[in-house]
Amino acid sequence: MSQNKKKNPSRKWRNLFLDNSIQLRLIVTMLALAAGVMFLVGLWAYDKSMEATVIAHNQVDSVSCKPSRATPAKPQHAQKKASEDDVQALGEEAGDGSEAPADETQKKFNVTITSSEMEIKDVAPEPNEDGSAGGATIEEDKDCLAQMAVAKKEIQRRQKKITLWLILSGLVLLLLLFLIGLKGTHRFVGPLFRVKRDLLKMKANDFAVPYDLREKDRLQVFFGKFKSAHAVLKKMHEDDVSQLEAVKKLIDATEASKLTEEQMQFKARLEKLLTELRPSV
Amino acid sequence: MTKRPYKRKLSNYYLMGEIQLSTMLWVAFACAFICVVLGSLIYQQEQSANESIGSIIDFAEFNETPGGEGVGSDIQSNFIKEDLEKGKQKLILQMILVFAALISVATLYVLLLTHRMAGPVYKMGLYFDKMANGRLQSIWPLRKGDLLNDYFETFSDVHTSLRNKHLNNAEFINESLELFDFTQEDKTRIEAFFSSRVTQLKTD
Repeated sequence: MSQNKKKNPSRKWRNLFLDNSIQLRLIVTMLALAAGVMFLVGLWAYDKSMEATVIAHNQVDSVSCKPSRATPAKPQHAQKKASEDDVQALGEEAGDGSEAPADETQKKFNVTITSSEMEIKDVAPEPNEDGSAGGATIEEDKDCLAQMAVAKKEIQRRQKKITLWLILSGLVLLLLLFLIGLKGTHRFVGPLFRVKRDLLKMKANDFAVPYDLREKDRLQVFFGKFKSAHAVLKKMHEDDVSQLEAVKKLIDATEASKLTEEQMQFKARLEKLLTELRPSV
Repeated sequence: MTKRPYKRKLSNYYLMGEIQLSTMLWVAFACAFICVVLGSLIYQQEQSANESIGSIIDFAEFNETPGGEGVGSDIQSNFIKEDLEKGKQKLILQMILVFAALISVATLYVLLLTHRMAGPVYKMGLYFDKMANGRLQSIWPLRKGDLLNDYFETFSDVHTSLRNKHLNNAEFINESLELFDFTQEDKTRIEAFFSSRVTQLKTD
Protein backbone atom coordinates (compact mmCIF):
# COMPACT_ATOMS: atom_id res chain seq x y z
CA MET A 1 0.00 0.00 0.00
CA SER A 2 3.02 2.25 0.30
CA GLN A 3 2.88 2.90 -3.43
CA ASN A 4 -0.64 4.13 -3.00
CA LYS A 5 0.57 6.99 -0.83
CA LYS A 6 3.01 8.22 -3.43
CA LYS A 7 2.50 11.83 -4.30
CA ASN A 8 0.73 12.35 -7.58
CA PRO A 9 2.69 14.27 -10.17
CA SER A 10 1.42 17.83 -10.43
CA ARG A 11 -0.64 18.77 -13.46
CA LYS A 12 1.47 20.55 -16.04
CA TRP A 13 0.19 22.35 -19.10
CA ARG A 14 2.35 20.33 -21.44
CA ASN A 15 0.91 17.11 -20.03
CA LEU A 16 -2.71 18.12 -20.40
CA PHE A 17 -3.15 16.48 -23.77
CA LEU A 18 -3.49 12.79 -22.95
CA ASP A 19 -5.89 11.63 -25.58
CA ASN A 20 -6.21 13.81 -28.63
CA SER A 21 -9.20 12.04 -30.08
CA ILE A 22 -11.39 12.48 -27.01
CA GLN A 23 -10.09 15.77 -25.68
CA LEU A 24 -9.92 17.49 -29.03
CA ARG A 25 -13.34 16.23 -29.97
CA LEU A 26 -14.89 17.64 -26.80
CA ILE A 27 -12.95 20.88 -26.93
CA VAL A 28 -13.69 21.45 -30.61
CA THR A 29 -17.37 20.77 -29.96
CA MET A 30 -17.41 23.25 -27.09
CA LEU A 31 -15.60 25.81 -29.20
CA ALA A 32 -17.86 25.23 -32.19
CA LEU A 33 -20.96 25.65 -30.07
CA ALA A 34 -19.63 28.79 -28.43
CA ALA A 35 -18.46 30.16 -31.76
CA GLY A 36 -21.84 29.41 -33.30
CA VAL A 37 -23.67 31.23 -30.53
CA MET A 38 -21.14 34.04 -30.70
CA PHE A 39 -21.50 34.32 -34.46
CA LEU A 40 -25.29 34.46 -34.39
CA VAL A 41 -25.59 36.87 -31.51
CA GLY A 42 -22.57 38.83 -32.75
CA LEU A 43 -24.22 39.23 -36.13
CA TRP A 44 -27.30 40.53 -34.38
CA ALA A 45 -25.21 42.94 -32.32
CA TYR A 46 -23.33 44.07 -35.41
CA ASP A 47 -26.59 44.67 -37.23
CA LYS A 48 -27.90 46.70 -34.32
CA SER A 49 -24.72 48.73 -34.12
CA MET A 50 -24.95 49.50 -37.86
CA GLU A 51 -28.54 50.56 -37.38
CA ALA A 52 -27.56 52.78 -34.46
CA THR A 53 -24.74 54.27 -36.52
CA VAL A 54 -27.07 55.17 -39.40
CA ILE A 55 -29.54 56.73 -36.98
CA ALA A 56 -26.76 58.62 -35.21
CA HIS A 57 -25.65 59.96 -38.61
CA ASN A 58 -29.18 61.14 -39.24
CA GLN A 59 -29.16 62.78 -35.85
CA VAL A 60 -26.01 64.70 -36.67
CA ASP A 61 -27.48 65.65 -40.02
CA SER A 62 -30.56 66.97 -38.26
CA VAL A 63 -28.47 69.76 -36.74
CA SER A 64 -28.13 72.72 -39.08
CA CYS A 65 -25.27 75.16 -38.65
CA LYS A 66 -26.27 78.80 -38.96
CA PRO A 67 -24.21 81.71 -37.71
CA SER A 68 -26.90 83.56 -35.72
CA ARG A 69 -27.20 81.03 -32.92
CA ALA A 70 -23.96 79.25 -33.58
CA THR A 71 -25.01 76.09 -31.89
CA PRO A 72 -22.16 73.76 -32.58
CA ALA A 73 -22.88 70.20 -33.39
CA LYS A 74 -21.54 68.06 -30.63
CA PRO A 75 -19.96 64.69 -30.89
CA GLN A 76 -22.26 61.68 -30.67
CA HIS A 77 -21.87 61.16 -26.93
CA ALA A 78 -22.80 64.77 -26.26
CA GLN A 79 -25.51 64.92 -28.86
CA LYS A 80 -28.37 63.84 -26.68
CA LYS A 81 -27.86 66.67 -24.19
CA ALA A 82 -27.57 69.23 -26.94
CA SER A 83 -30.74 67.95 -28.49
CA GLU A 84 -32.64 68.13 -25.24
CA ASP A 85 -31.57 71.75 -24.75
CA ASP A 86 -32.71 72.58 -28.22
CA VAL A 87 -36.04 70.86 -27.74
CA GLN A 88 -36.66 72.97 -24.67
CA ALA A 89 -35.79 76.12 -26.57
CA LEU A 90 -38.08 75.22 -29.43
CA GLY A 91 -40.85 74.17 -27.11
CA GLU A 92 -40.74 77.46 -25.28
CA GLU A 93 -40.85 79.38 -28.49
CA ALA A 94 -43.55 77.34 -30.12
CA GLY A 95 -45.55 76.78 -26.97
CA ASP A 96 -48.00 79.58 -27.74
CA GLY A 97 -48.71 78.13 -31.13
CA SER A 98 -46.56 80.69 -32.93
CA GLU A 99 -44.00 79.62 -35.54
CA ALA A 100 -40.44 79.00 -34.48
CA PRO A 101 -38.28 82.03 -35.16
CA ALA A 102 -36.73 82.30 -38.59
CA ASP A 103 -33.17 82.04 -37.27
CA GLU A 104 -33.60 78.79 -35.40
CA THR A 105 -30.64 76.58 -35.94
CA GLN A 106 -32.33 73.23 -36.41
CA LYS A 107 -33.17 71.76 -39.76
CA LYS A 108 -36.80 70.98 -40.19
CA PHE A 109 -38.16 67.56 -41.05
CA ASN A 110 -41.40 66.08 -42.10
CA VAL A 111 -42.07 62.94 -40.10
CA THR A 112 -44.72 60.69 -41.57
CA ILE A 113 -45.85 57.73 -39.54
CA THR A 114 -47.68 54.83 -41.03
CA SER A 115 -48.66 51.77 -38.97
CA SER A 116 -45.14 50.34 -38.88
CA GLU A 117 -42.74 52.79 -40.44
CA MET A 118 -41.45 56.23 -39.79
CA GLU A 119 -40.25 58.35 -42.68
CA ILE A 120 -38.18 61.41 -42.06
CA LYS A 121 -37.78 63.97 -44.84
CA ASP A 122 -36.01 67.30 -44.91
CA VAL A 123 -38.35 70.24 -45.15
CA ALA A 124 -37.28 72.65 -47.83
CA PRO A 125 -36.34 76.03 -46.31
CA GLU A 126 -38.95 78.71 -46.73
CA PRO A 127 -38.11 81.24 -49.45
CA ASN A 128 -36.83 84.60 -48.34
CA GLU A 129 -38.88 87.74 -48.75
CA ASP A 130 -36.96 88.61 -51.92
CA GLY A 131 -37.94 85.29 -53.42
CA SER A 132 -34.50 83.66 -53.17
CA ALA A 133 -34.06 80.19 -51.75
CA GLY A 134 -34.36 80.23 -47.94
CA GLY A 135 -31.22 78.40 -46.93
CA ALA A 136 -29.01 79.81 -49.59
CA THR A 137 -28.65 83.24 -48.08
CA ILE A 138 -27.59 82.02 -44.66
CA GLU A 139 -24.00 80.96 -44.38
CA GLU A 140 -23.43 77.99 -42.29
CA ASP A 141 -20.97 78.28 -39.45
CA LYS A 142 -17.67 76.70 -40.48
CA ASP A 143 -16.83 75.73 -36.91
CA CYS A 144 -20.14 74.02 -36.57
CA LEU A 145 -19.63 72.12 -39.81
CA ALA A 146 -16.19 71.04 -38.68
CA GLN A 147 -17.64 69.78 -35.42
CA MET A 148 -20.35 67.92 -37.30
CA ALA A 149 -17.65 66.22 -39.33
CA VAL A 150 -15.85 65.36 -36.09
CA ALA A 151 -19.06 63.95 -34.67
CA LYS A 152 -19.58 61.79 -37.76
CA LYS A 153 -16.02 60.57 -37.57
CA GLU A 154 -16.57 59.77 -33.91
CA ILE A 155 -19.64 57.74 -34.83
CA GLN A 156 -17.67 55.85 -37.46
CA ARG A 157 -14.84 55.30 -35.03
CA ARG A 158 -17.30 53.95 -32.48
CA GLN A 159 -18.75 51.58 -35.06
CA LYS A 160 -15.30 50.30 -35.94
CA LYS A 161 -14.48 49.97 -32.26
CA ILE A 162 -17.56 47.83 -31.71
CA THR A 163 -16.67 45.58 -34.66
CA LEU A 164 -13.10 45.23 -33.46
CA TRP A 165 -14.31 44.60 -29.91
CA LEU A 166 -16.65 41.89 -31.16
CA ILE A 167 -13.87 40.12 -33.05
CA LEU A 168 -11.24 40.45 -30.31
CA SER A 169 -13.53 39.46 -27.46
CA GLY A 170 -14.67 36.48 -29.54
CA LEU A 171 -11.11 35.33 -30.07
CA VAL A 172 -10.17 35.84 -26.42
CA LEU A 173 -13.26 33.94 -25.31
CA LEU A 174 -12.50 31.06 -27.68
CA LEU A 175 -8.93 30.90 -26.40
CA LEU A 176 -10.17 30.89 -22.81
CA LEU A 177 -12.67 28.17 -23.63
CA PHE A 178 -9.92 26.12 -25.26
CA LEU A 179 -7.77 26.31 -22.13
CA ILE A 180 -10.70 25.59 -19.82
CA GLY A 181 -11.75 22.72 -22.09
CA LEU A 182 -8.25 21.31 -22.11
CA LYS A 183 -8.01 21.36 -18.32
CA GLY A 184 -11.59 20.16 -17.85
CA THR A 185 -11.27 17.22 -20.23
CA HIS A 186 -7.92 16.27 -18.71
CA ARG A 187 -9.70 15.76 -15.42
CA PHE A 188 -11.72 12.87 -16.72
CA VAL A 189 -9.45 11.63 -19.47
CA GLY A 190 -6.65 11.41 -16.87
CA PRO A 191 -8.40 8.72 -14.77
CA LEU A 192 -9.36 6.80 -17.93
CA PHE A 193 -5.78 6.96 -19.10
CA ARG A 194 -4.60 5.67 -15.74
CA VAL A 195 -7.12 2.82 -15.74
CA LYS A 196 -5.98 1.85 -19.23
CA ARG A 197 -2.34 1.85 -18.12
CA ASP A 198 -3.10 -0.26 -15.03
CA LEU A 199 -5.19 -2.69 -17.08
CA LEU A 200 -2.27 -3.21 -19.45
CA LYS A 201 -0.01 -3.78 -16.43
CA MET A 202 -2.45 -6.40 -15.15
CA LYS A 203 -2.37 -8.11 -18.51
CA ALA A 204 1.41 -8.33 -18.08
CA ASN A 205 0.85 -9.87 -14.61
CA ASP A 206 1.88 -6.67 -12.82
CA PHE A 207 -0.63 -6.17 -10.03
CA ALA A 208 1.00 -3.21 -8.28
CA VAL A 209 -1.56 -1.16 -6.35
CA PRO A 210 -2.78 1.73 -8.51
CA TYR A 211 -2.17 5.32 -7.53
CA ASP A 212 -5.06 7.30 -6.09
CA LEU A 213 -6.50 9.97 -8.31
CA ARG A 214 -5.84 13.65 -7.80
CA GLU A 215 -8.38 15.40 -5.59
CA LYS A 216 -9.88 17.40 -8.44
CA ASP A 217 -9.98 14.52 -10.88
CA ARG A 218 -13.36 13.34 -12.02
CA LEU A 219 -14.57 9.72 -12.23
CA GLN A 220 -13.64 9.08 -8.60
CA VAL A 221 -16.50 6.56 -8.22
CA PHE A 222 -15.51 4.79 -11.42
CA PHE A 223 -11.89 4.63 -10.29
CA GLY A 224 -13.02 3.28 -6.91
CA LYS A 225 -14.80 0.45 -8.75
CA PHE A 226 -11.66 -0.22 -10.75
CA LYS A 227 -9.59 -0.42 -7.58
CA SER A 228 -12.01 -2.90 -6.03
CA ALA A 229 -11.88 -5.02 -9.20
CA HIS A 230 -8.11 -4.70 -9.23
CA ALA A 231 -7.87 -5.98 -5.65
CA VAL A 232 -10.06 -9.00 -6.44
CA LEU A 233 -8.13 -9.79 -9.62
CA LYS A 234 -4.90 -9.54 -7.70
CA LYS A 235 -6.29 -12.01 -5.15
CA MET A 236 -7.36 -14.37 -7.93
CA HIS A 237 -3.90 -14.16 -9.43
CA GLU A 238 -2.30 -14.91 -6.09
CA ASP A 239 -4.67 -17.86 -5.58
CA ASP A 240 -3.69 -19.25 -8.97
CA VAL A 241 -0.02 -18.94 -8.12
CA SER A 242 -0.42 -20.53 -4.70
CA GLN A 243 -2.41 -23.44 -6.20
CA LEU A 244 0.24 -23.95 -8.86
CA GLU A 245 2.96 -23.84 -6.22
CA ALA A 246 1.08 -26.40 -4.13
CA VAL A 247 0.88 -28.70 -7.15
CA LYS A 248 4.58 -28.16 -7.80
CA LYS A 249 5.39 -29.08 -4.23
CA LEU A 250 3.41 -32.28 -4.60
CA ILE A 251 5.23 -33.12 -7.81
CA ASP A 252 8.61 -32.23 -6.26
CA ALA A 253 7.85 -34.65 -3.45
CA THR A 254 7.80 -37.43 -6.02
CA GLU A 255 11.18 -38.84 -7.03
CA ALA A 256 12.29 -37.54 -10.40
CA SER A 257 13.24 -41.00 -11.63
CA LYS A 258 9.69 -42.18 -11.12
CA LEU A 259 8.16 -39.45 -13.32
CA THR A 260 6.92 -40.43 -16.76
CA GLU A 261 7.71 -38.42 -19.87
CA GLU A 262 4.29 -36.84 -19.75
CA GLN A 263 4.70 -35.92 -16.09
CA MET A 264 8.10 -34.43 -16.82
CA GLN A 265 6.61 -32.29 -19.55
CA PHE A 266 3.86 -31.18 -17.21
CA LYS A 267 6.41 -30.24 -14.58
CA ALA A 268 8.39 -28.21 -17.09
CA ARG A 269 5.25 -26.38 -18.20
CA LEU A 270 4.34 -25.75 -14.59
CA GLU A 271 7.73 -24.25 -13.82
CA LYS A 272 7.55 -22.06 -16.88
CA LEU A 273 4.08 -20.88 -15.96
CA LEU A 274 5.17 -20.07 -12.42
CA THR A 275 8.12 -18.07 -13.73
CA GLU A 276 5.71 -16.03 -15.80
CA LEU A 277 3.32 -15.42 -12.94
CA ARG A 278 5.59 -15.18 -9.90
CA PRO A 279 7.61 -11.99 -10.27
CA SER A 280 4.52 -9.89 -10.34
CA VAL A 281 3.15 -11.13 -7.02
CA MET B 1 -26.27 -14.10 -26.94
CA THR B 2 -29.82 -13.66 -28.26
CA LYS B 3 -30.48 -10.69 -26.03
CA ARG B 4 -32.44 -7.89 -27.61
CA PRO B 5 -30.10 -4.99 -28.41
CA TYR B 6 -30.37 -2.11 -25.99
CA LYS B 7 -31.86 1.06 -27.43
CA ARG B 8 -31.04 4.57 -26.29
CA LYS B 9 -33.90 6.32 -24.55
CA LEU B 10 -34.15 10.03 -23.85
CA SER B 11 -34.59 9.35 -20.14
CA ASN B 12 -31.33 7.40 -20.09
CA TYR B 13 -29.18 10.08 -21.65
CA TYR B 14 -28.00 11.42 -18.34
CA LEU B 15 -25.76 8.66 -17.02
CA MET B 16 -22.77 10.17 -15.27
CA GLY B 17 -22.87 13.55 -13.64
CA GLU B 18 -19.11 13.58 -13.32
CA ILE B 19 -18.63 13.81 -17.06
CA GLN B 20 -21.92 15.10 -18.38
CA LEU B 21 -23.07 17.66 -15.85
CA SER B 22 -19.79 19.53 -15.64
CA THR B 23 -19.39 19.67 -19.43
CA MET B 24 -22.99 20.74 -19.90
CA LEU B 25 -22.64 23.41 -17.25
CA TRP B 26 -19.46 24.73 -18.82
CA VAL B 27 -21.02 25.00 -22.25
CA ALA B 28 -24.22 26.52 -20.87
CA PHE B 29 -22.17 29.00 -18.85
CA ALA B 30 -20.00 29.95 -21.84
CA CYS B 31 -23.05 30.41 -24.07
CA ALA B 32 -24.88 32.37 -21.39
CA PHE B 33 -21.85 34.60 -20.90
CA ILE B 34 -21.66 35.29 -24.64
CA CYS B 35 -25.39 35.99 -24.75
CA VAL B 36 -25.29 38.34 -21.77
CA VAL B 37 -22.29 40.30 -23.07
CA LEU B 38 -23.49 40.56 -26.66
CA GLY B 39 -27.09 40.96 -25.52
CA SER B 40 -26.14 44.00 -23.47
CA LEU B 41 -24.36 45.38 -26.53
CA ILE B 42 -27.48 44.85 -28.63
CA TYR B 43 -29.60 46.54 -25.97
CA GLN B 44 -27.13 49.40 -25.71
CA GLN B 45 -27.22 49.92 -29.47
CA GLU B 46 -31.01 49.83 -29.49
CA GLN B 47 -31.09 52.35 -26.64
CA SER B 48 -28.64 54.58 -28.46
CA ALA B 49 -30.66 54.37 -31.69
CA ASN B 50 -33.86 55.15 -29.82
CA GLU B 51 -32.27 58.19 -28.20
CA SER B 52 -31.11 59.41 -31.59
CA ILE B 53 -34.55 58.90 -33.09
CA GLY B 54 -36.04 60.66 -30.06
CA SER B 55 -33.92 63.73 -30.59
CA ILE B 56 -34.62 63.77 -34.33
CA ILE B 57 -38.32 63.62 -33.60
CA ASP B 58 -38.03 66.42 -31.08
CA PHE B 59 -36.67 68.69 -33.78
CA ALA B 60 -38.89 67.50 -36.52
CA GLU B 61 -41.92 69.24 -37.85
CA PHE B 62 -44.80 66.85 -38.06
CA ASN B 63 -47.43 66.61 -40.71
CA GLU B 64 -50.35 67.95 -38.83
CA THR B 65 -53.40 65.78 -38.50
CA PRO B 66 -56.33 66.96 -40.59
CA GLY B 67 -58.56 69.23 -38.54
CA GLY B 68 -56.22 69.19 -35.57
CA GLU B 69 -53.87 72.04 -36.32
CA GLY B 70 -51.02 72.35 -33.86
CA VAL B 71 -51.94 69.27 -31.95
CA GLY B 72 -50.53 66.62 -34.26
CA SER B 73 -46.87 67.04 -33.39
CA ASP B 74 -47.21 66.21 -29.70
CA ILE B 75 -49.49 63.27 -30.33
CA GLN B 76 -47.31 61.82 -33.06
CA SER B 77 -44.13 62.43 -31.10
CA ASN B 78 -45.56 60.61 -28.09
CA PHE B 79 -46.85 57.87 -30.34
CA ILE B 80 -43.39 57.32 -31.83
CA LYS B 81 -41.74 57.35 -28.43
CA GLU B 82 -44.23 54.82 -27.12
CA ASP B 83 -43.59 52.74 -30.21
CA LEU B 84 -39.85 52.89 -29.59
CA GLU B 85 -40.38 51.86 -25.98
CA LYS B 86 -42.53 48.94 -27.11
CA GLY B 87 -39.84 48.00 -29.63
CA LYS B 88 -37.31 47.93 -26.82
CA GLN B 89 -39.52 45.66 -24.72
CA LYS B 90 -40.02 43.43 -27.75
CA LEU B 91 -36.27 43.27 -28.31
CA ILE B 92 -35.68 42.20 -24.70
CA LEU B 93 -38.28 39.47 -25.05
CA GLN B 94 -36.80 38.38 -28.36
CA MET B 95 -33.33 38.25 -26.84
CA ILE B 96 -34.53 36.19 -23.87
CA LEU B 97 -36.27 33.69 -26.15
CA VAL B 98 -33.45 33.43 -28.69
CA PHE B 99 -30.76 33.15 -26.01
CA ALA B 100 -32.73 30.54 -24.07
CA ALA B 101 -33.18 28.54 -27.28
CA LEU B 102 -29.49 28.81 -28.18
CA ILE B 103 -28.33 27.79 -24.71
CA SER B 104 -30.81 24.90 -24.60
CA VAL B 105 -29.76 23.59 -28.01
CA ALA B 106 -26.07 23.83 -27.12
CA THR B 107 -26.62 22.10 -23.76
CA LEU B 108 -28.73 19.34 -25.31
CA TYR B 109 -26.10 18.72 -27.95
CA VAL B 110 -23.46 18.39 -25.23
CA LEU B 111 -25.75 15.98 -23.36
CA LEU B 112 -25.97 13.78 -26.44
CA LEU B 113 -22.24 13.95 -27.10
CA THR B 114 -21.21 13.29 -23.51
CA HIS B 115 -23.71 10.43 -23.32
CA ARG B 116 -21.66 8.68 -25.97
CA MET B 117 -18.65 9.00 -23.67
CA ALA B 118 -20.44 8.36 -20.40
CA GLY B 119 -22.03 5.17 -21.81
CA PRO B 120 -18.77 3.21 -22.18
CA VAL B 121 -17.47 4.49 -18.83
CA TYR B 122 -20.73 3.49 -17.17
CA LYS B 123 -20.55 0.07 -18.82
CA MET B 124 -16.94 -0.45 -17.72
CA GLY B 125 -18.01 0.55 -14.21
CA LEU B 126 -20.65 -2.20 -14.23
CA TYR B 127 -18.08 -4.75 -15.36
CA PHE B 128 -15.67 -3.59 -12.65
CA ASP B 129 -18.47 -4.18 -10.14
CA LYS B 130 -18.85 -7.72 -11.45
CA MET B 131 -15.10 -8.25 -11.36
CA ALA B 132 -15.03 -6.96 -7.78
CA ASN B 133 -17.45 -9.79 -7.01
CA GLY B 134 -15.00 -12.22 -8.59
CA ARG B 135 -17.03 -12.70 -11.77
CA LEU B 136 -15.36 -12.45 -15.14
CA GLN B 137 -18.15 -13.23 -17.54
CA SER B 138 -18.10 -12.29 -21.19
CA ILE B 139 -18.33 -8.65 -22.27
CA TRP B 140 -20.91 -7.07 -24.56
CA PRO B 141 -19.56 -4.73 -27.22
CA LEU B 142 -20.31 -1.03 -27.27
CA ARG B 143 -23.24 0.42 -29.17
CA LYS B 144 -22.74 2.00 -32.55
CA GLY B 145 -21.74 5.62 -32.20
CA ASP B 146 -20.26 5.24 -28.73
CA LEU B 147 -16.97 7.01 -28.08
CA LEU B 148 -13.98 5.89 -25.99
CA ASN B 149 -13.65 2.81 -28.18
CA ASP B 150 -9.93 2.71 -27.58
CA TYR B 151 -10.35 2.48 -23.79
CA PHE B 152 -13.15 -0.02 -24.02
CA GLU B 153 -11.22 -2.20 -26.44
CA THR B 154 -8.25 -2.23 -24.07
CA PHE B 155 -10.55 -3.09 -21.20
CA SER B 156 -12.25 -5.82 -23.20
CA ASP B 157 -8.91 -7.21 -24.37
CA VAL B 158 -7.45 -7.27 -20.84
CA HIS B 159 -10.66 -8.75 -19.46
CA THR B 160 -10.58 -11.57 -22.01
CA SER B 161 -6.90 -12.12 -21.43
CA LEU B 162 -7.33 -12.35 -17.63
CA ARG B 163 -10.34 -14.62 -18.03
CA ASN B 164 -8.45 -16.95 -20.34
CA LYS B 165 -5.43 -16.90 -18.07
CA HIS B 166 -7.44 -17.94 -15.00
CA LEU B 167 -9.33 -20.54 -16.98
CA ASN B 168 -6.10 -21.98 -18.40
CA ASN B 169 -4.49 -22.01 -14.97
CA ALA B 170 -7.47 -23.82 -13.48
CA GLU B 171 -7.55 -26.35 -16.30
CA PHE B 172 -3.81 -26.85 -16.01
CA ILE B 173 -4.08 -27.51 -12.31
CA ASN B 174 -7.01 -29.86 -12.93
CA GLU B 175 -4.93 -31.70 -15.54
CA SER B 176 -2.48 -32.66 -12.80
CA LEU B 177 -5.18 -34.84 -11.22
CA GLU B 178 -5.10 -37.11 -14.24
CA LEU B 179 -1.32 -37.28 -14.38
CA PHE B 180 -0.41 -37.62 -10.74
CA ASP B 181 -1.63 -39.78 -7.93
CA PHE B 182 -2.36 -37.18 -5.25
CA THR B 183 -3.87 -37.84 -1.86
CA GLN B 184 -7.65 -37.54 -1.53
CA GLU B 185 -7.27 -34.32 0.45
CA ASP B 186 -5.16 -32.72 -2.29
CA LYS B 187 -7.54 -33.94 -4.96
CA THR B 188 -10.52 -32.42 -3.12
CA ARG B 189 -8.69 -29.10 -2.75
CA ILE B 190 -7.74 -28.99 -6.43
CA GLU B 191 -11.23 -29.97 -7.53
CA ALA B 192 -12.79 -27.30 -5.32
CA PHE B 193 -10.45 -24.71 -6.75
CA PHE B 194 -11.24 -25.77 -10.33
CA SER B 195 -14.97 -25.78 -9.70
CA SER B 196 -14.87 -22.34 -8.12
CA ARG B 197 -12.89 -20.90 -11.02
CA VAL B 198 -15.23 -22.37 -13.62
CA THR B 199 -18.19 -20.82 -11.84
CA GLN B 200 -16.46 -17.45 -11.79
CA LEU B 201 -15.47 -17.58 -15.42
CA LYS B 202 -18.44 -19.24 -17.04
CA THR B 203 -20.20 -17.30 -19.76
CA ASP B 204 -23.66 -15.81 -19.26
